[in-house]
Amino acid sequence: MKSEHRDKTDRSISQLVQSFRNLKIHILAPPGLETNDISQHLRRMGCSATTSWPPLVEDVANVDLVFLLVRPLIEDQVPFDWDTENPPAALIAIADYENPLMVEKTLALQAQSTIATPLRPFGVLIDVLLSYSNFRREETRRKQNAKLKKRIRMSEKVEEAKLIVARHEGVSLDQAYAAIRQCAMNKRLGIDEIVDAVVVRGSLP
Amino acid sequence: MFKATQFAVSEVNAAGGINGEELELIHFDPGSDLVYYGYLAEKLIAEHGVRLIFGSYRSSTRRAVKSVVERMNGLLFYPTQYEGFEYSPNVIYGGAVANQNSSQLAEYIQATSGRRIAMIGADYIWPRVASRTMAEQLYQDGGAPPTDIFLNLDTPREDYDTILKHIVSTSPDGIYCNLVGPSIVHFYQRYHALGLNPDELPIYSLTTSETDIAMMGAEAAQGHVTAAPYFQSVQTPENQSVVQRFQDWLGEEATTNMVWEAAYSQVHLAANAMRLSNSVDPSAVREALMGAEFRAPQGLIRIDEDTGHTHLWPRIGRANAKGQFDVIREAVSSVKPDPYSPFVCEKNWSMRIPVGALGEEAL
Repeated sequence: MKSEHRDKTDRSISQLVQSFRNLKIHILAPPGLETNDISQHLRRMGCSATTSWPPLVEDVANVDLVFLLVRPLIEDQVPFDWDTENPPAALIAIADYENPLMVEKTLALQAQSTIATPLRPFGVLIDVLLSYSNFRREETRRKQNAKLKKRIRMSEKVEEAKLIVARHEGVSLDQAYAAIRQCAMNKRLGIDEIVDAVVVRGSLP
Repeated sequence: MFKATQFAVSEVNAAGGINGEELELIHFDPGSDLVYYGYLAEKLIAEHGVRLIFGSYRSSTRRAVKSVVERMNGLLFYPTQYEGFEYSPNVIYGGAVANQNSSQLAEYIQATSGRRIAMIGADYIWPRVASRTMAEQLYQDGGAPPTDIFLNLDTPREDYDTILKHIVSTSPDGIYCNLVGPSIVHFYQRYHALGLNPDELPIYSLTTSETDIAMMGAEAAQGHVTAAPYFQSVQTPENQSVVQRFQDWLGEEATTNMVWEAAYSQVHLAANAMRLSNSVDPSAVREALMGAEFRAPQGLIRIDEDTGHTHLWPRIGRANAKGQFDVIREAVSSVKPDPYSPFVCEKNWSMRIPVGALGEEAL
């Protein structure tokens, strides 16, 4: 007998799965079979999707997930300025060929996944959810990275400021830090502002 | 399932077949061998000229046949309730999905029972999804089922007493049971042998049917509840007539059940589509099936163009002393299938107590 308690599914995962119909989905593809098949199946899943062509980044500024037909970007040199450093939405590349030009383009766009046409209805739901989940995770990592970088930069600056004050006042590094902290308290400012001022002035303000 | 199909084919042929041509039924039984399902489905299409296949029960067998009909341009008619989240242009789904059985049962449980519902099911995909779906519906505001057990299909009968005692030890108000096959018989019979009381601890199921009751005995089943679009006792004129004709055909002991009714209806829907399109080509037949209606034993059903599933009439039945179900709740109108519905779905149905069932509700 197997007796188990409910798997401890991550809350954010079960929330995503429960509310996938709320995802804002947009299809960047010209009118035609691919677009119709995808729209129809998304509708079957209870999702709604807007479509447009040519692929304008403004049209997808406020959506959660984008399907993009990649071939025209190569064949007709249709411009598409997707910010891979800070993408506005999850990206699923619609692939109708697998040749190296298509593959390179898809990789360069840093799509979260691809979907093949002709469309196979099986797999679309999991593709949408996995892509969106991957996108959110990447977004979280990006934000964490930015925070950590800021903290590192700040701590490097603090070391620099400690050295400046220590030399200027003729005290130890620890005493220098205490002086910086005291200065911040006296002036009711943040330590980072005093540190910035020290680095600029060469002494405590 | 096979008897239903056979019977329906005999009715179609008796009525003149398809524009004069008789339907020929070729039957294979793959047992429980998954690989054999795919192999025989291929054989039917490649060697026997079959294009329309009726059958399969478990999700794994449906998938095996689905991939054959998708590849070889056939059409599978699937009559069984299942976990949903599937679509194929080569499959017509005739059984209930969660918003046509589980949702109504959850509503009934919330209205008539305490919150502690133990869950037990067979250990494969469908019961696991079914348990999770019920738990999400019942425990939307927090909490969890007191037990959540999945049994191997070959769990020996001797183990059931321990399992039942364990369930009872958690003081549940009800048991949600999605076992299949012989496990159902073991579970209900051992429940009965332990002297448990269905009025205090009802078993709720999406699968337990007249066939299972015939095997376990009416006494073991009495008082327990099943949610399904169809019971043999459904009081539509179509059903009363069909059951009579079926018993004339097979014998008066013959029973019908939810899968029987779906299989029966699907044969007639297919026959009508073939007549309408004057073709046996699966694409033509499928096109004629989209939106097609049929006065089924359960009521007027319709094949949903969006999903290839079927509009059905959810019902709730309580097993009685005669081995049949008393229908204690029925849908006011047919419910559109929503196979991709999340666990907790918007309520788009309404259930009523059937006229004449009011006496039951005094319990």
